Amino acid sequence: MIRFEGVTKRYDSGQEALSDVSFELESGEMAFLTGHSGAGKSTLLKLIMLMERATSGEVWIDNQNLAKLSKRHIPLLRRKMGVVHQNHQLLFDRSVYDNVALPLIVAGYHPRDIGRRVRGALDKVKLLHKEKMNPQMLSGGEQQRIGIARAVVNKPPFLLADEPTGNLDPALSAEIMQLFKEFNQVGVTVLVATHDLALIARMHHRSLILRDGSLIGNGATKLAPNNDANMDDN
Amino acid sequence: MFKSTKTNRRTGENRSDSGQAINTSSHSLASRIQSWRSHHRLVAKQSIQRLLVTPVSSLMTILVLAIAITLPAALNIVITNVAQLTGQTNDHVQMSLYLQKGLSDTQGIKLANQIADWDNVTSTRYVSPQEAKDSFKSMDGFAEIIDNLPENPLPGVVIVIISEQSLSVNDAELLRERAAALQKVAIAKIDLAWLQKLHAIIGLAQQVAAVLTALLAVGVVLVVGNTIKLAIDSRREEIIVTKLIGATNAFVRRPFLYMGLWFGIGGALIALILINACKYALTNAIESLSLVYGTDISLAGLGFTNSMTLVLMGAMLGWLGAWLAASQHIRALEPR
Repeated sequence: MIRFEGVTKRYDSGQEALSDVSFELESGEMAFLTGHSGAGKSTLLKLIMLMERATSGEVWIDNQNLAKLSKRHIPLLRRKMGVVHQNHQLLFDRSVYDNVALPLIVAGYHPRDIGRRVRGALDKVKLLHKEKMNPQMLSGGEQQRIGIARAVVNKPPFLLADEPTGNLDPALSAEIMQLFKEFNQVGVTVLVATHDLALIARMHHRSLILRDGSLIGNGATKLAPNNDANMDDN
Repeated sequence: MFKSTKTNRRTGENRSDSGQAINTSSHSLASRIQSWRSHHRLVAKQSIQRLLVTPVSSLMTILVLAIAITLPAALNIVITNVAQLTGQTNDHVQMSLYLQKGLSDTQGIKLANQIADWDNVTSTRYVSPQEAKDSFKSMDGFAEIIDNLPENPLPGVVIVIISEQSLSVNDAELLRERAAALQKVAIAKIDLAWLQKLHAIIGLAQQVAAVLTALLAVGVVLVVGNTIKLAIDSRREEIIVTKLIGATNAFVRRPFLYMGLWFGIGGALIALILINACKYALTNAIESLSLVYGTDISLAGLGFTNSMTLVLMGAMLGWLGAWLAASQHIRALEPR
């Protein structure tokens, strides 16, 4: 469960990235977070991962108020959520396998379990045959899938993605969205930030629409593409 | 593969409800400890491998540390040797009490026994005038002179052996004054000047060595700290990504602490080699010195215990330097 209650985020520069945002994402729900660039999508995700803290209002994850979460417990919160980053955030000094194994090592899994889980995750994104390669040698789409494998390898209850299809062609984008959908079907709460409106329209999921830091849409998204298109023109 | 997610999440919720730390993984404590240990082993191995990736710069750092460790260690060895040498020649400090003329041997022996009970006195011995005369006679050239004297000019002497352990220069002087105040004693003599000087010099040298040791220990910490800071800077991206994935500061710090540890141990080991090489180089010189003086002078090295202590100290300083650098710089590296 992810719940925002009147969350405002103002950066030190004075810029207000989010203003009074409230919504709730049920456990096992899948939703899109959309809006023009600079609308506050990334900030919203950062508040969930505690890369930033809310200036006012409350962010709740699984009945836990993040404002009351001490610095010491941030790592444990982050282990609960798989995050797919826009720029992959892969490490190029090690193999695909080692990249995907990292969350398990960090969480203190037994080496015996690590191999099995890593291969399972790589198999899911169809990159098992490239486990020994350096991610640098792979295409953008493959790198993104490694990022996804790493995000889900420890079976987190939450999956967050920030523009996961940003630089990919439509076919690859659809493939990756399909992956997210599969994860959602087995109970993972998924929140995908994207401005790929055509994609959102096809998926029939709830969408949270941000505009200049305010939540202007929060519901099923049949008409969202048109509205959003207008919004982007503004 | 995600079948278990829901139950995992539920346990996670329960834990967070009870105010406990959030945790989605259900693995047991025993397996956690086991994996924690295997991670330590892995990190220890990897941090050595990392040092070997850049052998020249690693070796340079280790050599700098080795020199910084060798200097105070060698100085301390020199001081220990000098102190030992003076200790040998100075096993006991003697005080000579020249007695008033005309005292009988019985009185002299009585006095000697009396003084033997004093604090700081190990033993006493009465040397009668006759005995003193005989011992002079046994020396070349003295026999005739002494025989030609009309009467024995030598007084009775009580030789007081002062226990060295308790002997500060002040204590010795107090003892001398106490003896000199006795009626039967004409002159009380103790040669403290050289002892005073020597003790002062050794004391000074020990202080210099202590200051130097402290300074160079700080130097070791700083050198390791700076090297670790550079290592952290070069692995910035990795640290941020690992933190995003949920690594604790302790986890991120660990490889750098091991790196500092290896630097410290490496520096100390090379220092041991340097010290023993110096000792070996000096052995010939010491042997010929020993021949000239006709005494058995041997150079005390570090020995096993001190060698181990040195390595331990190196390890601790390396670890400390790494810890200082890592805790400061890694905390500042937060994903943004």
